[in-house]
Amino acid sequence: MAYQIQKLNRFIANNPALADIPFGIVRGRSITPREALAMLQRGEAVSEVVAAMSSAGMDPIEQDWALVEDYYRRLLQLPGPRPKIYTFGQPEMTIENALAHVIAKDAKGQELLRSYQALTREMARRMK
Amino acid sequence: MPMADVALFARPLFDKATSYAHYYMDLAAEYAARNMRVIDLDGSGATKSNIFATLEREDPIFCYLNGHGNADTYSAQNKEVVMQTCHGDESLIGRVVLLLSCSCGIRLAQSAVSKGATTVFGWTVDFTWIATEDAATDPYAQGFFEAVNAISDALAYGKTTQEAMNLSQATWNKWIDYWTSSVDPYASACIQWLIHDRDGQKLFGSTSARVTTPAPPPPEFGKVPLPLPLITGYALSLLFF
Repeated sequence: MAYQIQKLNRFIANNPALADIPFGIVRGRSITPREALAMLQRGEAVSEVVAAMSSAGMDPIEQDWALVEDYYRRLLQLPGPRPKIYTFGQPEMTIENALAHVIAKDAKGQELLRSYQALTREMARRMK
Repeated sequence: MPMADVALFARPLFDKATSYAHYYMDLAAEYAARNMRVIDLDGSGATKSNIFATLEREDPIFCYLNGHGNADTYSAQNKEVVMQTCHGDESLIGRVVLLLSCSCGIRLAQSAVSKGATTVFGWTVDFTWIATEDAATDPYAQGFFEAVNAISDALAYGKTTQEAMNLSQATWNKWIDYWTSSVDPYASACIQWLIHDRDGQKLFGSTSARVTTPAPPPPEFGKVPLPLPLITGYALSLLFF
């Protein structure tokens, strides 16, 4: 466990932008690297947290839908100004719009999911 | 046979999305113009008729084209369709093309190469970025367009298409690393779409083509300065050594 704590400490120090991104589900709720570290330090759900860390970026699709939804909900709680999401050819998207697409699991929601999955794979790579 | 050392830039300007590419392509055009002859179709000049007239008259070997698009279509000013997989893309025979448009890498880029385009850089995803401000001052948009311009900048000084691709990928990674170490509340969203665009960027056709003879690039010219937090970070790190 000390090794996992060390890994998470190093990850958070080197990747502050990724410290509060949900990457796994433990006991029915999504957790971020910072929350995982706090749980390990408290000795809470240790084996589940370690399992979530080792399967980060490789979660089942239903779990990823829950994670990406939580991710956009967390973004909505951050201070403004909130960026908009732009592409060539489609109307700009607010974070509220993005969350609505994710909840609807429509075509745009699926693209948002895929890009979020790539983000969690990058987190997993950096967590190793 | 297209003319070496001649480049066409088409940069429409009619909505918020095109305003970002329009601004950053201006930097790339200025940079390329130091070593190539650049025909810059700007804003309302970026029409289908002007693009085809320039291809016919000037026969540029390199085309950097922005506009709305999808798997089968590239459009320019006011979404005027310029080329599709069924016709128009044969006009790219013998040319190296940087097609900054959504999803053109799915079919249009491959179609153009199959009809004789030398190389096409395109995206198999909707090219996506985040921004809060206008192009000139937005902190998030810079990395996205700088990574794309890396292709044009490299080609304009005689790098091969594969070298240009590699330099662009390195630029994407540089910006991903930059934002990963940031405490900006929306850094993760920036990283998310930088990864998306980096991984969706594809090179079709020749990996060894050049559009001009190799030349040393002018130092610093055309490069967007690093954001202040990064410079400050470097400066602070020096205090501890």
